[in-house]
Amino acid sequence: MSGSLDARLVIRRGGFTVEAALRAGPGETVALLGPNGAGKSTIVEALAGLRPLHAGQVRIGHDVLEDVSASVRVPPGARRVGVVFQDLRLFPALSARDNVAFGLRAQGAARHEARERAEAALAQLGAAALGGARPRTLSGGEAQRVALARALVVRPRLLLLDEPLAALDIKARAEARALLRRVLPEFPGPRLLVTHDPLEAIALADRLVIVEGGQIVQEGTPDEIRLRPRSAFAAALVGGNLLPGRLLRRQGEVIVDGRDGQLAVAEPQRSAASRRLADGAVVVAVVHPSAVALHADPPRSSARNVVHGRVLDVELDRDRARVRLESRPPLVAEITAAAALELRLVPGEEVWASIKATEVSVEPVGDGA
Amino acid sequence: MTRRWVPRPSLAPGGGLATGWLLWTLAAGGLAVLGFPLAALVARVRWAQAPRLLTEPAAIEALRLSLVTSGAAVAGALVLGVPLAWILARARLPGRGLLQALVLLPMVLPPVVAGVGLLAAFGRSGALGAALQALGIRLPFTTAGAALAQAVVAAPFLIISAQAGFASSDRGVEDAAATLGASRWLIWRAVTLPAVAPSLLGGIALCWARALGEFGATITFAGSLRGRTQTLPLAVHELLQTDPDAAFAVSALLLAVSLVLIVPLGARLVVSARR
Repeated sequence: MSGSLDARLVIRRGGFTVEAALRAGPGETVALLGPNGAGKSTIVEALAGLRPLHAGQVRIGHDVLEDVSASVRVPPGARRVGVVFQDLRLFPALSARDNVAFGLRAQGAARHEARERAEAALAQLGAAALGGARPRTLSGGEAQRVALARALVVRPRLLLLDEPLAALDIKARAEARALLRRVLPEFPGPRLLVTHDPLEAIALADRLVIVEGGQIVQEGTPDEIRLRPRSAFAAALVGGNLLPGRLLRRQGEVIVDGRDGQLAVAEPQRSAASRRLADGAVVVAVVHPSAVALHADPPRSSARNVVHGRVLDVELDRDRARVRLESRPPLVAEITAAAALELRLVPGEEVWASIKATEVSVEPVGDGA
Repeated sequence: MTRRWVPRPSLAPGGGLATGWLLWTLAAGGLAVLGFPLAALVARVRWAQAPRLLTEPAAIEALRLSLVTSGAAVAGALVLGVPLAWILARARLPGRGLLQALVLLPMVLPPVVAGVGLLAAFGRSGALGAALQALGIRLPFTTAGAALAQAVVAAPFLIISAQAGFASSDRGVEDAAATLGASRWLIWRAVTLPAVAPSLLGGIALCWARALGEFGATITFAGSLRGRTQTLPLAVHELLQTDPDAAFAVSALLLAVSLVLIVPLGARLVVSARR
């Protein structure tokens, strides 16, 4: 049985107050996105019951986990909230298998049964061989699989992932992202993913919640936020134009084909995973706004990507202008204010954008499975 | 891990050879002052007679008594001191500084003063003496009293070591265990205890060594009654007047026991200093 997460949180931490209303449905992944110190981890701790609320309540389905006005506070162990901590927090004295079995044992499972289920959980995450290893002998990616197995094996009703990829190096990060893309859909309850990496949020989440200074400043789908960022941080998040899609090779061309359009890319050689990306791999194409050139007429440019669109709006910041386009894919261009004036960019104006294929970087987020 | 205060010998830049020479000379002098008496003691022991001297009934009795009382002192320090260490390391309470000073006090207090304090508290005319007597409990000049005197003097060594362990162990890992449904007891057994075990073992060794060597508080509160309160150090003191050869032999025995207790700790210090 899975229920929605419904939380209104007021948390005081020293002089800092975090206030947030969060909802996540069964099977929905919500990314909590924000800069360091925004209060994201504080929210995770509060939902897990490790930090008391100052006011508000937390419910999963019909069960009240915490309600300050009714003096209800279910302790962490009885909440059935699975947490993958940013620093993983594996038990150093226990083997990987016993780390995973710990929660089952704590809930009364017999030793051999707990071990068997732990082995199965590790195997499901491709970590069957790690059972006997001590945490400090594991690589970052391996330790993360163990931490994920430990959180999932007890079948929690809510899964909290606090910066699950932050501690990993680039190669391990791409693998872990692919793993999460595979594993998260199998978890039936609501999932809350804390991250400061927009790529990770877009790759894994259905909905983004942007937190700054302890407050939610915006929430919506990645597209909604990309096109209408409501704060400097949200704007900086979309500092890259991000096009999620699949990598396809056609007649010597490599393209990223997404729901919102296509972009031709150079053969990704510097991709995070060292192996060559297969056709159909799930990726995000990233284009920095300054790599988007704008033209008043169809350009005779050698750029492989030429996109026709209309100006949505123009935002001036000192000598730079951020121009948002209604186009396929939707684009944000950053040009000089002088160029923006010269092109007479006003909302509704027809415009052409060009992007060189070599300016499009490709980040793998999944194996295409 | 917890002991970073071990100084690394290094020569100040620009100090030159002369400074290096002075440094090494002073250090060697320090070592000599510490080590020479022990070497002299070992040299003075009549090894041929040692087995006979150490198996005299008086020596055996003192050894047995020492083991019993110091064992009891360590056990008491564990049962009462570890919770205290936990609270000092983890709890937020007003006047913690004062409490901390109180716990450390026996380490710097002359042991004889600790003994006088015990008399004032539990002596026949002491604050609690009458109450204890009504219950049929007598502490001064009893074996239990000797153990109590050792515990008072030695417990701080265990407490500060355990406290350092609790303070430096990762509470985040305990939180992780809590989210998995672990009871406090399971968290303590499976997570906290393994993390603090090295500190705890070090503390036990120090505490035990200190209890074994306790003299001042014991003789003040419990006297030096052969077979009841005369532990090895008290026996040495008495033997020096009656049978110096036996005194040296027993001293060498105490030295050996101390070495066994302290060498693993010393090795740990060296290891952590090299990290």
